[in-house]
Amino acid sequence: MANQSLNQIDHMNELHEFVQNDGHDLPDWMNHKRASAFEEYRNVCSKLSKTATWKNTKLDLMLHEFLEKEFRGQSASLNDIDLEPGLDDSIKIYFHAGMFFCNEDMPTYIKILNHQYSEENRSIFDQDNRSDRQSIPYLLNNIVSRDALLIDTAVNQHVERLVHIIHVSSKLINVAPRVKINLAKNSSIKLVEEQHQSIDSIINHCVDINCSEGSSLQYYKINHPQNDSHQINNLNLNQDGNTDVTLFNLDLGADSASSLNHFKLNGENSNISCSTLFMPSDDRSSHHNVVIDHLSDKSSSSVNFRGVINDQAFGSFFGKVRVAKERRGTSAFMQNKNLLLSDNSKISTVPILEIYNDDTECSHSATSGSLDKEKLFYLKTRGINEHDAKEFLIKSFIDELTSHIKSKRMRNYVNELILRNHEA
Amino acid sequence: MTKILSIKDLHVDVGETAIVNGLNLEIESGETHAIMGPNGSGKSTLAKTIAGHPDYKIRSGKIIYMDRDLSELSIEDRSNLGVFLGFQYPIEIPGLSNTAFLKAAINAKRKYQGLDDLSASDFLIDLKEKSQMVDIEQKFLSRGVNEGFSGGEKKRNEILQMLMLEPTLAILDETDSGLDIDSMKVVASGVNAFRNEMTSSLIITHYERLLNYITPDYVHVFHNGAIIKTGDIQLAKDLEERGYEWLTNP
Repeated sequence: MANQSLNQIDHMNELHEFVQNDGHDLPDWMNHKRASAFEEYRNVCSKLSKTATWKNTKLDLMLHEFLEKEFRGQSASLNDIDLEPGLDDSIKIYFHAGMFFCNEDMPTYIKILNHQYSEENRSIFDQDNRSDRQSIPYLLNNIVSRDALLIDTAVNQHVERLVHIIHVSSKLINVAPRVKINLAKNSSIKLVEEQHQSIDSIINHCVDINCSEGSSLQYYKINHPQNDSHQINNLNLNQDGNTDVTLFNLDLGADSASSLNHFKLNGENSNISCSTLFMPSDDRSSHHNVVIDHLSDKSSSSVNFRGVINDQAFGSFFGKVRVAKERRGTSAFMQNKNLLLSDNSKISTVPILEIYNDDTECSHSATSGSLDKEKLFYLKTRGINEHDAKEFLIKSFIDELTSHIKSKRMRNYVNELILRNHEA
Repeated sequence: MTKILSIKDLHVDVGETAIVNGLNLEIESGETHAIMGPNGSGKSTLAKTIAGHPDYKIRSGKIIYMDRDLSELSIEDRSNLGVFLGFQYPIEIPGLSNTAFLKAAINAKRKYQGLDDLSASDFLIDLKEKSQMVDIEQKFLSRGVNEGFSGGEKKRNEILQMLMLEPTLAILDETDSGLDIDSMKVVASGVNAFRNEMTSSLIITHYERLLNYITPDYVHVFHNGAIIKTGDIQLAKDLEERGYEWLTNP
């Protein structure tokens, strides 16, 4: 099964059957949304699944897995969640078996939208901003998702408590969480999303973020490792003027993990910093795709992706920065560095700058290689043995990225997770 | 006096090229030897060979350190037995702080000696004292190893590592290159603080100027991978005045 190529007809039939039979308890507009997503998916899937974004990413296998599983636990509840997440004092929102839960009274800026929600919230499923690369997961998400989470700050609101969204998947359940974050003018918030997957599960996660003038966001995404699981993470971001967004993504490894990110800098002085650390091992794969459009003057972007790839694992990075002809005073920095820890580990990296004017400061770089022999020699001449010297160099490679995490609390948490994962 | 290092008819290849050709050198405890020579004469090759760099292959001959054949020891064991190499081009390791690195190095040596780890307080006291000796500010110690250090700071950091590790034999490979006069004095005072009747130094340099501050017991002239002349500090002064030509191409 795992090595078969996707049978397009069977899988379309299965999806069609799902769309026709699953939505009896949903409002009409939800069913229309599903039907329309399915029609579009049927038209684009065959073509898009052969594009560079998808053809090396075990997409066939993921789609098989996707369709083989249930989309919702019939009797799931908060009590089913057996997990002790860290980050005490945060507002915890769980997503389990297709449903969102919160174990406390939620503040007004957080809304869980379940199948009873009104049509006024239908914009959460809009796909206006998605790129072609994101079509497949977005459409699949629209076909199966029910619950959604909306975070909607008020003007001038500065949320002090960390908002902690925890995705807990169940075996044989395919979940498609949908999250929308709207930051109102001059507001700020810190969010962390963690994915704890079970064996044999799949998450197809779509997040849309809109940052209004003067707002500020710190957003952390942590994917915990799991065997025989798949993750697709889609992130669309729109920034108005004078906004600051910091994103950090830690991918500790799934059977296949893909992240598709599209950032639009729409307003003057909009700044984004996006860092990702991916660490696939065994025969896992980890694929990362980021596109940044500088659509305003004086916007700046900094992209820093690092891969630590071990065993027979495969990683890939595709990054593109586009600066339109009429945009002035922009700056863009894009870097991808990869550490290959075994002879059989592989990486593909494609950093691209598309710059159409002279008044911009852009740079990009990509390096891939094994541990530096001269650094190893240096450490050993100080009495440090081979094993420890290698560990130091791997840690230093990682620390160069994680040391830039703004929040000390999150920096410590991320470093602790990396250490725990390494020791496991 | 104890024999610290004994090099006998050493031949070293790097790839297919013979770099060291029949070198003989004896160093006793308490002695400071200087090796001088023109570019490409094999001085740094000798330093890296003693430290155990895997690209430098001993074709024949022996390097005996404290009655041990160094070729049978790993790089880290050589260090833990007291061999220190101060690098000509110290390596930068961003993300690994100087403090963490030094602590790991000291505790590796202690473990090799069957001792417990040094307590954090003892380590910090020692580090503070010795970093002051080589004029390294405390804030530099929390940075990555040699990260963003100037050339002089890197060399002083090498001397700090030497002082912290308390080796028996210190090989300093062109520690004076790229140093201004103030930094050279600091480096020299660090090296002189290390010198005693139990320790030995092998100082590799192009120029006589460092030897104005560290007086060697012996000065050797290196050419084509072997010592062609040995003398005292006066030989270094002659070289400064006359260059190498009168010895290498008489």
